[in-house]
Amino acid sequence: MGLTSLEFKDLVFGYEEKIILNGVNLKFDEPGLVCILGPNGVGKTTLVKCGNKLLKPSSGEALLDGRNVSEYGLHELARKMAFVSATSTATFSMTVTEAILMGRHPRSGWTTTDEDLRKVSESIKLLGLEEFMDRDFRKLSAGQAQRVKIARGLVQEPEILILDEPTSNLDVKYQMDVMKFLKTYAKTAGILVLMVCHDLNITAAYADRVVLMYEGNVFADGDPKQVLTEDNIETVYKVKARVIDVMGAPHIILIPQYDE
Amino acid sequence: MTESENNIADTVAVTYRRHTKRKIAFIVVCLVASLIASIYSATLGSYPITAEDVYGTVWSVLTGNGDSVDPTIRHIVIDLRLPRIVAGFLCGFGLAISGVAMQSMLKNPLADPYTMGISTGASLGASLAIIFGIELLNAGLVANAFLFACIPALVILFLSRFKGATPLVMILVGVALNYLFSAIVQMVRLLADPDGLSDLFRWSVGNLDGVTYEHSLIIMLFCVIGMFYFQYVSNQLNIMGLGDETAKTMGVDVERKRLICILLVTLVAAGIVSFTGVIGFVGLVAPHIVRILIGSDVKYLVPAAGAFGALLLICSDIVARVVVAPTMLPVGVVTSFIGGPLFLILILYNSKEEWA
Repeated sequence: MGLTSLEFKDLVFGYEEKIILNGVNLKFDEPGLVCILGPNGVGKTTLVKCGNKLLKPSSGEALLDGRNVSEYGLHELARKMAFVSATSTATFSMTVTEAILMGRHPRSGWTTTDEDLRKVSESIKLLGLEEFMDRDFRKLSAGQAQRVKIARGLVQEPEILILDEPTSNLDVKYQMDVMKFLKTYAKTAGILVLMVCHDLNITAAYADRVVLMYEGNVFADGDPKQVLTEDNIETVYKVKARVIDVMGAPHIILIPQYDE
Repeated sequence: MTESENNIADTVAVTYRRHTKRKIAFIVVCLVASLIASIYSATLGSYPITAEDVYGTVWSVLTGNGDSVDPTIRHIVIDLRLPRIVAGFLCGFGLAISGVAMQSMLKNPLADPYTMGISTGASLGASLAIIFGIELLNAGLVANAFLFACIPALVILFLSRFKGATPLVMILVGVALNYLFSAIVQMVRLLADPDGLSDLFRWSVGNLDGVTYEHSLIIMLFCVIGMFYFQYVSNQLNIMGLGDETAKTMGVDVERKRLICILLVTLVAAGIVSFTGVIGFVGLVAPHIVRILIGSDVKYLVPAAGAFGALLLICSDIVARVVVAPTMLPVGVVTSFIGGPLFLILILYNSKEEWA
């Protein structure tokens, strides 16, 4: 399928007196794994939420295939874009299969078809959830629950998969598994995977493109080597770092600072 | 697909279809049990009537041969006993499906059809009509109770323009109106004479007495409308349980759905309460019990909880009629007696995540 393009044009977002996003201009029109990095409060999550109609910009535009996202109905938008939030819980018990099946809502009718179940089983296999199919979703570990949420996003068959900090609360093995999976999936399925992230090294190792945000705008945008430099990290995060090359990707070593 | 992928696909499909069959079987079992309980309920009373008499009488009347039945038996079954059984089925059904809708859309296991103030609104309408003869539109006690029961929904509709139709807004409105209406009802009671107080008490405790077939027809209409809509949006109610943000990204217009559900819960619950008074716990407990047995998928939970709620209320009415026979307890007293301990058991049984 042809990739949907997501573009932010002079996007401004703020609450009363505080401006969060200050005229952001960005375009995503190629498949791959894109990570958005930046300090807390810089507007990473705000940016992606403006992109999927969860937040309304104060001015500027978020365009999906050249059309303002505000013109899309929720159902229509859900067929193009899936969003895996950082915090999403189920109020009542449900099995993992049922939790993933909900993701088919934008694509299917009232009844559950064989096609729906086939898509669910594919995503269960992709995310390694076979042994949890009948387990209560709320009783899974953080890593298992995160995989279920990603699986639910995948069965929506989106052209853009947005994830908000999917690797927070995960141990290093799960983090790497999730990143490896997303990078591979973006390539094989030919979709854009747009991820808000905090971990510099995980991003550096797996992302195809990095957007580094600072003071409400894009500070640097490009491949990890171009963006994750010592100067950029010091300017944006106010910490000193050494960047070395590990297997062709930058690896950031933070230099600890102690009180005298 | 590889063999492994085919195996997983088969497992998912087979397991899902098996669970679905179990849920449908549960609904059928509840409906059959309701029928059996109804027949048994119709045999109870000071005049001895057998189950065969009940079945034969109903069948004869339905097939236009009512004249072939003993007139005394026909009068007792059709005119005296069956109306309360039919009312019990419909009221139990309606309260339970309203409870499912409320708990799903408010994401709150403690929600029931009365959370928004419907029961206290109806109590206020009934109090004003019984004690002071104040009736909106001069429409009578039942209509007055119904109209006042609808006030909370109107307040929520109004406030949602400013604050949005969020679960928190709805629950807070319900709490505020519950307090306000209760306070006014207490004041009305203070000013009431003993006869008025006695009438008001009889109305308020929840009773199937005096609910005619015509009343049941109105309740049935409301229940059918409510059930069809809740079934229609069942997938969306499931998704709303994941949180508003997640639900919107999956294509669900949560605020609109919530407002429509509130209106329909009001229609069903207010329609029931205005005829029967406040029958508590069915709308709270029936969804929880059924969730434990068949899971939380609203598509099956609505009809299953409805069928179970109907069975629960018919059985409660049986208890109400026999426990201190020949005196009949109001069925609302029995449902509270049963519902309270049952809810405590549910608290112990359910996982801590359920109440988090």
